[in-house]
Amino acid sequence: MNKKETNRAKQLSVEKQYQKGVKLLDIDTTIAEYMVNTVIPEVEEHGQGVKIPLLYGNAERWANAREKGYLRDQRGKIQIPLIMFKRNSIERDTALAQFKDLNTIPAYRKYSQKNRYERFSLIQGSGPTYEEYRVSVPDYVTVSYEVMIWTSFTEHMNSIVEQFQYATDRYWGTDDGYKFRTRIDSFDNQQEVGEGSERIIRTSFTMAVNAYLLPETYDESPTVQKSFTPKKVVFGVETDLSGNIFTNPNIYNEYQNVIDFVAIRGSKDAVYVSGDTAKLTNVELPILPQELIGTFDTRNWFRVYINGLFITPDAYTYTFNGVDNEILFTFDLRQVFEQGDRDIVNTLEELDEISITGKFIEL
Amino acid sequence: MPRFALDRDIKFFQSISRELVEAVIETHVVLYKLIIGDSKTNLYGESLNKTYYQGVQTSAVIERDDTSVSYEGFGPDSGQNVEFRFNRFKLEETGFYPEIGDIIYHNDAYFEIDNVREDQLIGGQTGEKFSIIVSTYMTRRSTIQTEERVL
Repeated sequence: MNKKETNRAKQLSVEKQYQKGVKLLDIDTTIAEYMVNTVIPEVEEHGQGVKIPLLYGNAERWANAREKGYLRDQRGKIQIPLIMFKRNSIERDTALAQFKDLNTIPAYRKYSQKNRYERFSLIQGSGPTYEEYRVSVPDYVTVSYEVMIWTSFTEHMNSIVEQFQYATDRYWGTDDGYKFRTRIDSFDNQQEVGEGSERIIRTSFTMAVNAYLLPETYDESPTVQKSFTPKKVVFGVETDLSGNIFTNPNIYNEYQNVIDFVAIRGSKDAVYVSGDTAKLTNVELPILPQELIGTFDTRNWFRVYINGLFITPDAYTYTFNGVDNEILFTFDLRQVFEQGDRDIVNTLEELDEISITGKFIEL
Repeated sequence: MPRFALDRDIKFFQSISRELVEAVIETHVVLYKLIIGDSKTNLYGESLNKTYYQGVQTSAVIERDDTSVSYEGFGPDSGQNVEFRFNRFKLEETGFYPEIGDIIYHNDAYFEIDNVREDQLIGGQTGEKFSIIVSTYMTRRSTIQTEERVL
């Protein structure tokens, strides 16, 4: 099994409080808390207000019988009114399908510990960095809940159903928590009276909740990625030195000549002419731009090597023949051979290798 | 005091019942009491980490259904329903009152109580219950976490 490739530069730790996904438990809890705190009314029994308990359906037996034992009498008979809800299905919301691995929702935190007060940043003109949290796009789903209400009296049931009806098409949740749009389409009312059984008023309905799900991690990677915004953005000049793709060469603006000159670099073997001269053929000598006069080192316009030995600029002069496109190098042989550390003849020979690099254009 | 269920009659009934369960039939089971305070539940009324008191051994009259096997795509899955009948006075001595959710160990299996009945009354007297009858079903060891799971 191949080791997974990782880029440790992108592995920034995300604080625990920002790693929270949206789980089914969060959705269920949000819906349950909204029902308890907002929707479910108190009913009146013998002049006293009674808060109706809400249960999640089909809990573990012991939890229902013992932990919620206060809902039952000594013989285990459930006391009503009661409301039970349970999740029935989760359906993908195809209208909000996303490329989950590619799209992220950015969120910024303006405070960062990386921003320390210092005068150096003022001098540099750099601004504060923001912490950016890129949250993966969640899965949008429609969660269906079944709710069942038991009461002993129709009047109690009426007040409960009225509240649920008025709560439909609202966003259920809290301001500082999750909010999910909830819709109730219809209520099914039943009155059950039979021989050997107690009279019960029962209403059941289903709720469709538009929600979203996001795991904390997927494939061992967190769904929330952290990064820092740049402290300073520097705009530079970009040039395409290959040349001809621009129809208007003035794209270089006022630095065109400088950039062109800096980009010039020729490398060629010189042709033997005589015992103290050699020439570069089929070349052009560029003109030093006005902006570089005084800063460019004209002494080192060329770098000349004879049989691999570097010849200092003092040991030669050159002239450019613009008609024949040739640069003629005349060597001061005494200086040339003083630089050598080998036994050398007093003149250049035809077999000598004279390599020249520098500011010339090969035609 | 009713005419045909005097104290002496009731004591006789209790002693016969106790002797039958403890000395004659003598089938032992181990009872595990769920600690509700340590078994925190979530929204769904579930506890992922249940805690039980140490087991208590006692005798019971046991009525077993045959072991059944169901197939639902996972292969054979065994199940069994068992009814345990305890002598109430013996349980009082051990300090164990069975409730829904408690576990009974019997015949190399764990059984969870899903119903507790105290409907047998001596002479129909409501204060003279002599038995506790619990209905159970065979539970999965992965659910109750009494033993380390082997995977």
